[in-house]
Amino acid sequence: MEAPFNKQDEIIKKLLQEAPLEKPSLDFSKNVMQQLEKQKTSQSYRPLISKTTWGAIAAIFLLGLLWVYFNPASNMYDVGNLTFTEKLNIKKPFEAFAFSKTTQYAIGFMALFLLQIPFLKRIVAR
Amino acid sequence: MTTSTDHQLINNTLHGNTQAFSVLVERYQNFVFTIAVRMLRNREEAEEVAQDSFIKAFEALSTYRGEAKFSSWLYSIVYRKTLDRIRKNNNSRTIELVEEITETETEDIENALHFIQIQERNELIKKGIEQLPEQEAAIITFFYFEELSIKEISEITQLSEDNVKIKLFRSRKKLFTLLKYYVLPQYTNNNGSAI
Repeated sequence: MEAPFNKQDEIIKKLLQEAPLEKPSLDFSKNVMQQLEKQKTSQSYRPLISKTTWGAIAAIFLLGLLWVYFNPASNMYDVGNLTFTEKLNIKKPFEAFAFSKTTQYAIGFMALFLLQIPFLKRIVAR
Repeated sequence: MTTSTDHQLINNTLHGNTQAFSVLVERYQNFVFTIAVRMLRNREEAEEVAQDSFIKAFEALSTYRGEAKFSSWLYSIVYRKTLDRIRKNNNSRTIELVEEITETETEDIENALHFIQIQERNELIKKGIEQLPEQEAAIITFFYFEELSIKEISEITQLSEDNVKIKLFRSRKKLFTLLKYYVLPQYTNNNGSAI
């Protein structure tokens, strides 16, 4: 059984090796390189806020936190020292604060406006 | 430049010399394209896939670790890309026609092939490969033309070595059956009733 098998092997090998390779179009490699160039320019993405800027922002934020930690405001209510009932009796700080009708409408419309942004975005993207 | 090894060219490319990559493209474009054509059987699509493969290779070049030959790595990209395209087109092909070829028939086929002009032989093998399932068309080209080892082919195709061997065996059988039909039509006529 092995004999014809080896023979077939040989024949196929000869046939395949003498068969020429298929050639792509003449400007194949040019096309590839052009596409690569195109991708290179379109892919050079630069973030709006660079890493160093992010670092600076983080540093300022942390410094602010530390400053607040080490310099607590001295003239605030000392909530920790109040008894339970006293705590309950703390006057609601925003009690006297009231919105006018106009402000309420304004806030309502602002909320609606913000709400439709994602929908509008989706329509534009389509 | 033409004598640069693949390794040097890859290093140059990674260091920003894009032009070095074009040498690699020219070096491998024919074989990459041949694999794509033999699997897809459509020159336009094959050209697209071959281009995509080179672009993919360029993008992934930094992940190439140099463990396998660059050519094998590249072939695995084109092989996968072409299979993806075939799956997308949903036009995978199979042939059922496989016959046992006897020793005398093998010799007759060989003799007949001697008398055929080389162009005709090339046409014949091209037709034969076109009839093979796409995976087998690639495997048989890797094995007999590029003379890659079973191990290398199994790495490229992600098939087990045994599976590669089986596919190789089957594709050789199918090719011979087809060759018999083309080269020795008298056999086929006589055997027609027996199939």
